Amino acid sequence: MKATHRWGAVRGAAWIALLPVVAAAHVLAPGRPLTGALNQRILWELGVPRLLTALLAGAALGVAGYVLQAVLRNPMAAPEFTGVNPGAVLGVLAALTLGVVPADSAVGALLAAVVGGALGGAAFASMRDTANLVVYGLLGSALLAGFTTMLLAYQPGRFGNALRWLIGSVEGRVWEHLSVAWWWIAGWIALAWLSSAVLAVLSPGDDHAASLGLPPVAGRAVALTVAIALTAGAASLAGAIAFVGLVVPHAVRRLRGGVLTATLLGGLTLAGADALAQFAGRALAGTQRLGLPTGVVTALAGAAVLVYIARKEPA
Amino acid sequence: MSIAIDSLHFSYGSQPVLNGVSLTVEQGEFVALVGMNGCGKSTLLRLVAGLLTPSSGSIMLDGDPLRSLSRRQVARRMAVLHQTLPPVPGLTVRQLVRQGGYAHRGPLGMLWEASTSETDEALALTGVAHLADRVLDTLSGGERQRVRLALAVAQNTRVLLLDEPAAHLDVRHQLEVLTLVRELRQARDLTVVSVLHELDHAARFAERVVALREGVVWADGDPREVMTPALLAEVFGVAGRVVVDELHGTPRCLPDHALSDHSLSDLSMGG
Repeated sequence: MKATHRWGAVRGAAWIALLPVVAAAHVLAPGRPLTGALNQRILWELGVPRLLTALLAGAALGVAGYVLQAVLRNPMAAPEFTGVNPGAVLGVLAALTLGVVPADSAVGALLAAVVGGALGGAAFASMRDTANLVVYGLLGSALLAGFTTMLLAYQPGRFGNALRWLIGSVEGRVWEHLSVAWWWIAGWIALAWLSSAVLAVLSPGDDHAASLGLPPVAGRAVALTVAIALTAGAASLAGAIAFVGLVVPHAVRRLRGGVLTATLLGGLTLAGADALAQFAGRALAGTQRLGLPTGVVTALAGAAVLVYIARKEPA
Repeated sequence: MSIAIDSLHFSYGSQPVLNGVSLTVEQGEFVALVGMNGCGKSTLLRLVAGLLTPSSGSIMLDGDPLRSLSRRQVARRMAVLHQTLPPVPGLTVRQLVRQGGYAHRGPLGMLWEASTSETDEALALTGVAHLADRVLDTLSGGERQRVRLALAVAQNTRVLLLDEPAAHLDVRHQLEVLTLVRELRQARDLTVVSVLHELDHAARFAERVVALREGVVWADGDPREVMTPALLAEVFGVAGRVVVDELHGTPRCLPDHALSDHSLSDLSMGG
């Protein structure tokens, strides 16, 4: 028994050791030299914030997905399938397109994402029947995508900017955005961690939770609030990053981890995907400027991983 | 801990299920709830567990009205083994049994210790310590039930409610699980109320049989007195014989054939 705990600690340390590896890969991926005042300034003003954006948004999505899958008891529950992520992205896009908030306002994007994510999540929650979660989720996502397209149609000139949010990208965020998102995401992850026992007790079902002393409705309300807040935080930074919130929880469960594992794996996954996106973008375009949006990489890689999971885990 | 149920009514929508159940269970008793499918025995158990709200009537736990207690207060007094436990991918035996401490420790108290003394004690008492680090989904049906009883033990309550604990098990594991319930009851001085499908189990393991029909208590007492051919006919709708198992001194039911609906309603009018 003790040996198992020690082994768990060793494995945990191994995952943390991946952090500098991924960070180094991320910094080196654009292929820009690290010497020279200008290059160092680019690294500090763009490269490092981009890395931190990926780590933060990834951690937020990983934990949000972990929380959703735990309380909805559905391995397909994810921010993008529960209306939360599309809602948050629509919120940001609506606020930007209608000019309610300036495009670069960190607080404005966050507020818009929270409102949109909460509306999307509430619309989903009102459907109640979580057995058909994926069907409802797809319906909700399609509906929101329709609204998003409609918004874009009225403002075709801003399409390039909107695309960043629709596909999902961690590029272009600077320290100001991070300083707001950091507190928001770290705070909600801390709350998710403090609620670990609530998530665990809710996972085997409402009767189980109630009989162990947790009112299931209250427990679920806390969990869904955390998931919405974290998804909105991620969306306000990086837009509609798909599959991180879906795939990371599966890996967390396989490692028998919890909220902290989801935080670490989520961050590593998105930072790794972004390193890959930068590297691939450079290889494809041959220039340092043009990058591949991170959302493209997470969507492609995530879809492959999902097929693998679906084949290995029956239902 | 005693449970006092007084003229309990409950209906699902317009469908009445319980029509005035009154029943008092004393500390330390082992009561079996029996009756046909749909007679309301599981509903009664869920009402006592506080998972359903009665349309009228009252349930008292040691003199406190059930509805005045919070979920955590109820969970400190009463553990429930539901018919099924929905699967959770990757959940280990120890992780599940540890959850028994939730009502006592609360969410923050659960954060630090990976395993608690009451978890280890419960695992040992139910004979599943060797399974502690196995994933729940990989266990056999009999092992699962033992683990779920370990969870109930870890909850450290005086009352144990069981909803068909031996369902879907083979004969050997049925006996094993019910024997374990009996041992736990002695070790922890538990009050046990169990829905049981098998009449022979009820007669063998419980000291008191409560038979429900048409949403009321139709018969209540020592199995040696209550288990009669008349009960088989009225409560279970079968014609049969009741013999005495000489080894255990308990009645055994030998159902012969099912009664027709027509003769059943005659029995109803006769009382």
